[in-house]
Amino acid sequence: MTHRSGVNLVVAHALEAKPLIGFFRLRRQLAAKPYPIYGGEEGICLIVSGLGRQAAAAATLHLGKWQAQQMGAVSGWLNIGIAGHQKLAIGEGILAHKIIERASSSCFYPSQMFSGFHTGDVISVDAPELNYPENAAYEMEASGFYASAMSFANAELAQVYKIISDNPSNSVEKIDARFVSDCMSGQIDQIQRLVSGLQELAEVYNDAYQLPEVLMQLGSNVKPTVTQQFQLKRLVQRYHALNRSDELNDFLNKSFNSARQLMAELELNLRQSGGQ
Amino acid sequence: MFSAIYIEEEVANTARVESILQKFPDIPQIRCERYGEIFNRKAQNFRLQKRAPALILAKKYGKLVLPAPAGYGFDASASYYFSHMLNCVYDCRYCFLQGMYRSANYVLFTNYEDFGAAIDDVIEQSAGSSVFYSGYDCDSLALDPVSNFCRFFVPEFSRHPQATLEVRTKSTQVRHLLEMQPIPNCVIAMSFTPEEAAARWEHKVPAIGKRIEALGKLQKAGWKVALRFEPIIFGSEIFEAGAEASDTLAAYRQLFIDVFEKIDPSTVHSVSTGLFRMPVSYYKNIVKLYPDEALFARQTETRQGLVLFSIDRESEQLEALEKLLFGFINRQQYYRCA
Ligand code: SF4
Repeated sequence: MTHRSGVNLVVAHALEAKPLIGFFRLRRQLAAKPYPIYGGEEGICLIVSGLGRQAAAAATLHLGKWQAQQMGAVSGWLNIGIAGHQKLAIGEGILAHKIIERASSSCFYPSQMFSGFHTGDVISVDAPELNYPENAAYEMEASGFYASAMSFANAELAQVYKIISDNPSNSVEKIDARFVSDCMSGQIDQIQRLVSGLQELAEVYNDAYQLPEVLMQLGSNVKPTVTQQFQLKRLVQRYHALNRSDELNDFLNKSFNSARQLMAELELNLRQSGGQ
Repeated sequence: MFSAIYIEEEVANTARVESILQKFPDIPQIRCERYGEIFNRKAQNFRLQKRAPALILAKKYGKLVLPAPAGYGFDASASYYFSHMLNCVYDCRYCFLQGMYRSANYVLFTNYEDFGAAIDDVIEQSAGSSVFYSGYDCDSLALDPVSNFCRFFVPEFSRHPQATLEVRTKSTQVRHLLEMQPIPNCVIAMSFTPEEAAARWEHKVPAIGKRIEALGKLQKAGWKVALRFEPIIFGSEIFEAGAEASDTLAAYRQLFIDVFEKIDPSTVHSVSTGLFRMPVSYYKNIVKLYPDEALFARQTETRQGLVLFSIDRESEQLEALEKLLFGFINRQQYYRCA
């Protein structure tokens, strides 16, 4: 199934990105600089941010702004990466239900929209945490990612998924390229489920809120003021909501002296034949 | 039932919270400082959240009992409301809660004892009788199996016979009430719209027949019951194209027949009607939330800060509906909501 709405994957390291790029059949987007950005036909986009919350925040902002120029629809956002944990076994996945930024004590709560995932606290630290003091996933990007993603999406459409790479009995030193790849690949089904879920949610959102194309066409000849743009938008939405969009085509074929005249006629038509 | 349960640190170790959490061992339990961190944050979408709402267990501070809005109830006595819960498990498209809150999550304030003390205070200070409404910011019965609202608040009012508790609901969760001894100063007020309106706008709400059945059981068990025919939405897209307000009347006639077949009108505490109306700011928020909803694409007008749908011959239509209703009840039982 092809989706109109996309999902953006933000990963810190090229090693984490590699299995995802392969699985989702993504290709490097040549136009995108300075970050490596990969895209695919299913609306999935991936950016490699670099390590740390500041890098994740900057890359997320960069991707959001780059995309705003390209499309206009809202996308889902997913930060994926490896993390350490006090209790969870190597290779297990954890969907963040609370993100705590250690440096500032700020907390973020991604809305829990998906069932069937192991969920837990994720603590974003500025240096690798080797003692795992709390029952949480320790990593370095989630809080930066989440704060930036909130500029482009709401709490339902931004999620963080971490795969456990180290714990008190398996130290950070054992992590190598092969190990990272295995960790990510081992969770690919869950990641795909999350991506599909986010894509579906973004679709629901865009279906409800994306502006009808006819709005641009109607407004193009009459130069509405900012206030009139809002009023015109609402009128067009009302036609759509009342299942009367076809009638808007008649207005496209007429000429109007002003935005005010166009809106008066749209309003009159709604009142006259709608009985609403 | 819930996508997650958020728990304020302050109530985390209370018996009420622990007993709720025990019922949901498999749902993520997430600690927070204050419920507002989740409930009042920006960048959340009520409509998306309604697909997977969470429960937030919190402590309510400040004024716990407030004067009821003018025209809210039946009685001329002093009227108050209290909200042990914010938001509703149902999803009526016309509901003002969608415009009032940013979040669709349910907040359950678990410091019932503080509510009880505040109610005691207000009753002591009131010279005569008083009425307390629950279910203004929620549906009190819908979550009763979890909240145990009835088991706490009905005994509270049994100690104050001069005060009445009215519980507004569309729920069929009446088991706790049926297990209790009815008290004369508690009224269960069930809301109804006609079948066509319910099917179109009352998502996740129990079917009309089930609601009538639940109310009938309560009445038979000796509870005082009331009927709220609200909100009335005349002539609409729920009927065939070109439908008139008279189609709405026909739908109400059928609803009244169905209700009074099972509910004995002679002992009904009160019956009310009320047009759809909503504060302007809430209405604007709802339009933004549901720009594609036909109901909100209608012509509206504003009266005293409230948005109403424009209706031809409004008072005539309302009177016709009341006339229908008076075929089943007497006028003393009736009031029209302002
Ligand atoms: S039952 Fe009442 S409170 Fe609940 S959604 Fe419907 S109108 Fe709102």
